[in-house]
Amino acid sequence: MIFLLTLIGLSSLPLQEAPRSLDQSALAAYRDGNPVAASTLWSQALETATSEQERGRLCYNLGNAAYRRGEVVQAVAWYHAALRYTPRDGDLWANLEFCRAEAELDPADRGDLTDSFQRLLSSLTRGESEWLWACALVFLAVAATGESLRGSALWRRLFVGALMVQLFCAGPLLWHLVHDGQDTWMVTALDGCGGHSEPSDEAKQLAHFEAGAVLEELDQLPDWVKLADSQGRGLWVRTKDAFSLVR
Amino acid sequence: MNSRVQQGLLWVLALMAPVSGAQQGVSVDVSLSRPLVKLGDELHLRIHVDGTRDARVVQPPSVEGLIFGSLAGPQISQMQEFQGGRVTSRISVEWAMSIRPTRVGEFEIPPISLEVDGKTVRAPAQAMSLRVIQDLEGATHCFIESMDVPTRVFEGEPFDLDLRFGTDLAAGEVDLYLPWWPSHRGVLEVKTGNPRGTYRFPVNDRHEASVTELDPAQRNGVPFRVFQLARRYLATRPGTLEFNAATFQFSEVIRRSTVFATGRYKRYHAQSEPFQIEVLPVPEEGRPLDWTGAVGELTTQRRVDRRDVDEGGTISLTVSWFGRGNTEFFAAPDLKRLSGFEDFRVLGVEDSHFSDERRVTYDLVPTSSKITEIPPVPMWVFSPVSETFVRVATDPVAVRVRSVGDPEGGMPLAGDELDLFDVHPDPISETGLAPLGAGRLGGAAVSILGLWFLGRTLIRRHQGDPNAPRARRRRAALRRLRTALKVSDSASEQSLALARFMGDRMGEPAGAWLGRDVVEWSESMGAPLEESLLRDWSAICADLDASAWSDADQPIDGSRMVNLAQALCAKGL
Repeated sequence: MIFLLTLIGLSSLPLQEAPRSLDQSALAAYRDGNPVAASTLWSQALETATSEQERGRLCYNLGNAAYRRGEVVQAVAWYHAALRYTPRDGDLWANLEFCRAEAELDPADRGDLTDSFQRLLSSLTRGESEWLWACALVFLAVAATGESLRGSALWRRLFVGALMVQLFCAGPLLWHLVHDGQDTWMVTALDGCGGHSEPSDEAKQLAHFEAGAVLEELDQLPDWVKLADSQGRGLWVRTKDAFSLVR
Repeated sequence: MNSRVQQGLLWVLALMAPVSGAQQGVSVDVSLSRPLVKLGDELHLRIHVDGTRDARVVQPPSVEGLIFGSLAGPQISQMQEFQGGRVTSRISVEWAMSIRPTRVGEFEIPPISLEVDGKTVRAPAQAMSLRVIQDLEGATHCFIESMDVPTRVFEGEPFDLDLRFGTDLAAGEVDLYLPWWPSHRGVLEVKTGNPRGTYRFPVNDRHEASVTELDPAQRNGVPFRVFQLARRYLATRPGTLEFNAATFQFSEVIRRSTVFATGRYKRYHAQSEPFQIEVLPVPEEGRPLDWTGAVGELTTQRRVDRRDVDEGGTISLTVSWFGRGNTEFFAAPDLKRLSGFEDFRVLGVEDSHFSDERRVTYDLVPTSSKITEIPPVPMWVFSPVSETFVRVATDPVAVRVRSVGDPEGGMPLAGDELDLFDVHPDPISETGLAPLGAGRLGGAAVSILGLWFLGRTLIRRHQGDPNAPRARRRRAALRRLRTALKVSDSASEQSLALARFMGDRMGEPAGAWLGRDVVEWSESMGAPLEESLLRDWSAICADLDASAWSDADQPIDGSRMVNLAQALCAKGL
């Protein structure tokens, strides 16, 4: 069975760092007090970066640059985007909560049971979640082999324990499977934005989305994105008023 | 025509007989159970259609002063009988409807419209007369009255309905008939903190109400037991609220029910006066823009969990609004929109309601050390007494907000001095853990479980339970032999240890291997052991026997037996 696991075909993605020159130029611009130029350069670097860790770092830096430009809600959105790649970055969480407080939004982690549980589930990246489950599967394979060959009470308990460990270790991966497929957007317009029945300014405005609201994408057109409101209705919002959290 | 054909024709006619019978003689009968009733008593309207099942009531009657219940039915009955060699069939449909008069007088109930076999029928031919008389005896022995009912209220203003009823009779059953129970259009019941009643009396035959017994009262010099049904309502829209007469029915027990006989009761009725309440709209004139719907006579109080807080810390401000008002229904003030709270951040709001009290807890975070007080929380309330809008506000709460950067405090800087953590300047060389593929992992999980199930099934089918005592002994035989040889100090003990080893491995008693000819045993097996192995084994046995039967009983070299045992295990013994 262990041999079967080795056949899974583990492979690692090659590291693709953002071009160093772009990154250094962006950093220099940021240090010189030019967050606009820094944002542009880091955005270009983000387009070429493929490593999750590097993408998380660039999103974090872009959040800082957005804050320095005075766009606090957009900074919040960048930090949320970075959380997908570096969910346990302490600086990232601190900056996120700081900016959410500045923008008068509720904390991302209120510290209650629901938020704590959600943060626990999302504290691993997709790759880490899969490796965690793979380790649990190795444990299960060993316990299953022992139980089938020996069948003693100890092996039986180990096998049942291994099954329970599966449930615990598969949780983060299940969370990613549910959430990673969602293209979510955050409303970044300071006064919120209107949700229109059709992708036109003349169309009737059926809802008003507050700044900081996170909504799921249903469709997209040039300059417009269709987002699902709390009632499940698809409403069109101008892309300049919202920010895609999938970067 | 032979007799078999005649018999068949007779059966056909017999089967057709009910059909023809059912199609003849449709009759409709509509009648009252009683033409004369006492006020408060109930009677029934019975609608009976005979001869068809295709009938329905087009429109139930409606007469002012009579409350008609819902139409019960249809109840369909069908009967067939052989009489004088003929089969007759009868089918009928019946409905019933309860009627409860609300006043004394003569009533004419118009004919009822029915649709029978597709035709409209009105029955009976003449209007039905009903005479309702006062229950004079009931009025003597029972009473029911509404106390202090307001004649007018404002929309959103709560009002109390206090119904008192009682009797001077001793033993009996109580029934209340309240047309406005359990819900009435235009009002909402408001929960109060009043204790639950001492009795639960049936209301309208279907519901129950909690009723409190008050102190006995004298009426015309006779002591009466008095009960109170108190409820608080809140008018939800302007207009006139009609409360029809309520009926109190007391059934005095003449004879109690026993196993052999049903009980006998004498019913007395008393009725209250109907009343109206005019509901006025809250005036537009003088209505503040930030009025949030509060109506009543309310006061307010505030409480904080602490008054000395660090900058960025949380203060729980609990504001309560008490009094007679629509405490459950107005919107609590939004502190984010109130002036004076600019230096506070409102993190959360907990809203709760307790009978006459509305309690809202705000989690406030002072963002400046210059704050010295929590400002008043104002709210506009429409007062039905003065018919004006009154501003009720909490008292301010003095607080001290310490700057966490104060030298005296010795704390790190926070609050306005907070800033972002710096950018991450160094590109990250770590790739992180590459995804393995959830599908492949899921497949591996299923495979592991499948292989486990297959493996354990095959193992148990071909080799038996691996956890059985015999299997466990077989696996542990070599280990036990090594242990036994270490502690044995005579050839006879070594011989016994070797016999135990063989017994454990072969699933036999150890005694079976004492003195056994191993060559003969090997030949009796399907696949004999190698000759050299058998020679060693025989030599060991001979040496053991020789030593054991000598006076010295000296042990032989234990490693020989261990090597032999390992070789036997390797051969699959």
